[in-house]
Amino acid sequence: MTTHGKNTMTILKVSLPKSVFLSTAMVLGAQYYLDQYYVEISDEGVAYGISLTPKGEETPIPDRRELLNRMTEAAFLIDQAERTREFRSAMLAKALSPYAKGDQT
Amino acid sequence: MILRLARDIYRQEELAASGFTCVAAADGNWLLDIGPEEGSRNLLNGMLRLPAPGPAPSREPGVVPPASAISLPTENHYRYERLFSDTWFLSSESGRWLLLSDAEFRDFRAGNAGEELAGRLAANHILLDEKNIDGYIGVLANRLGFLAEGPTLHILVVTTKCNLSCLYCQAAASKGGGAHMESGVARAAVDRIFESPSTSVIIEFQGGEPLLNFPVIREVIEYSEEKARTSGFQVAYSLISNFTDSVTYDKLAYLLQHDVSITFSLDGPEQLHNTNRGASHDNLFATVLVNVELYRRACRDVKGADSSLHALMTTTRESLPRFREIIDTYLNLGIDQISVRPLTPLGGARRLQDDIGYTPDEFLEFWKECLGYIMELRRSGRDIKEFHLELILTKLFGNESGYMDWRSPCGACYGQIVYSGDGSVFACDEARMILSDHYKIGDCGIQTLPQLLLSEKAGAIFSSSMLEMYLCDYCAYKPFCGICPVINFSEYGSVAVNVLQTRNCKIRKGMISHVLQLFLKDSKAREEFEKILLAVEWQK
Repeated sequence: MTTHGKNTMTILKVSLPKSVFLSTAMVLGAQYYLDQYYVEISDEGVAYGISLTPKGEETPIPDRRELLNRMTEAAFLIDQAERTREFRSAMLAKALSPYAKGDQT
Repeated sequence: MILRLARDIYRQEELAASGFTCVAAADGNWLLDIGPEEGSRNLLNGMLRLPAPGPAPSREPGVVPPASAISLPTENHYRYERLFSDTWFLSSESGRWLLLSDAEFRDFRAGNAGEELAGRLAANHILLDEKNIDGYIGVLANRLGFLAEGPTLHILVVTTKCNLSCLYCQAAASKGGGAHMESGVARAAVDRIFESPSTSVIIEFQGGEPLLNFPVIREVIEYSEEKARTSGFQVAYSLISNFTDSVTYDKLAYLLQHDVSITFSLDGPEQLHNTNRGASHDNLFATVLVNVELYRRACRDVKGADSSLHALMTTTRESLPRFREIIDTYLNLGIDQISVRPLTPLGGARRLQDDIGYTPDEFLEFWKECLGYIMELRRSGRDIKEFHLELILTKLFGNESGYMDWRSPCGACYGQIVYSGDGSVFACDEARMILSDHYKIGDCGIQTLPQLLLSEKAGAIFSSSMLEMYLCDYCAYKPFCGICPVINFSEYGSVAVNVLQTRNCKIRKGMISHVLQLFLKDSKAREEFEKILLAVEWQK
């Protein structure tokens, strides 16, 4: 991590392995930072690089461990959503089946 | 300044549409020269979202995936959010939710939930087994029952003329302009309404100021009453008015005789209400007071009793410090329900955003102050309620899914449709207000209602309001929320927005978490919540 006082400098950059972090997890995890930071995600081959640059000089310097925690949470949420996708679809179809084709009982 | 951006996250067409020139590098990145502009980097922030919503799902209704897709017991899909440092909020798709301590959440995620914790998780559909799976599907089916009803709310814009020029008018109506709906269009709209799959419908008269075209209102009421007698339909009527010059005793008496529910605009005390009505009008607040009395007299004459009054309040910047006066104005007029609504960023509200608007945080603070004052009044014996509080409570504790603005899919096309004066049919109230045909689904004089609803466009609008299409799918409050693709389109020029960055998302998340926090930490508020829930009308 590098830290600078000026708001135009990238102050935090972290690499996260693609084997754990899907692109959707990178997008989801980045959400928390969009209000206060410019967020950019680059492709580093086997990893994604995420960098945060503060929008204002008063913006607090982001904590590397917190960023890692948030990205890990995002990866968990995406993984859980993917694992249950077929099940969710099945449940939804069962729930909607009484209403299908005019049967509204 | 040159940036390297991952090609599988940033889409070339979107970068190009934002004016960026990008070159594909061999390492999987776009090479992007963004220049010195910080605005460019904000645009890039906006691109960090899921891909744009696709066309409506083409799956045949009622086709159930094979049993092999379901293996029990299982950990259901759940979403979560930290409410306090030691408290987690978990919700399932059915809208059931529970709170876990840090230790409990850790145990559950590590697969170490003991019997008692597993029982609580199962009771709230986070864990599913043979015992609760049918209950889970039943609750889901109940929540989605509105999908089978078709549109129940049919809005007739009987005129776009208005006698006022309110600052925030989202319908962009004004004095001098606009046109009335003709009789033939009105009758065609009624014919479409009676083709609805639901035999219980509401016809709502809107404008402009609808009372300016009273002959057509009468015609719609009488024609639809006649059709209802022979078709078995149940029809209810409502009307939204500014309650000023166009109100007469005879009109009110007629509307009451036909059970038309009337809602009028009331933004607060005299000065605030008058300011919002725009330039060069007399004291319209005083006119409203006169008409409220006229309404009460008509009620007594027609119904033999007083009838409750409904009013709509819209928050402008000037409202923010005046929450007590606003609520007191409602109470002084005998109105015991207030809906503290933010501006809808359409029409005048959008044009004057810099003058009368505010940030989502400022609105939230105002809403919380309103709630605080309402709780104070309730504890002193005044029975006053706030609409969004009641809505959130019924969603959290009662499986509410009828309110179209806060559900997924939203009400567009399949909950409500709008018939405008020239016969155009729009997907929803907001859709007709953006002054574009983007959300026009047809013409009531040409197509039947089934043709309108089964059109490709209606399907696309439907799918664009499904929260599964957005990052909302990962939000703990998803089962209680909804988005408006029309407002997103109007504000951001596309339905493909980062919903989590929108004004509505910030306000709604803030509202829900505030209610949950009050519920957990404020025993007096919880007592009042219980009373509100006991008195609530569950079928809104």
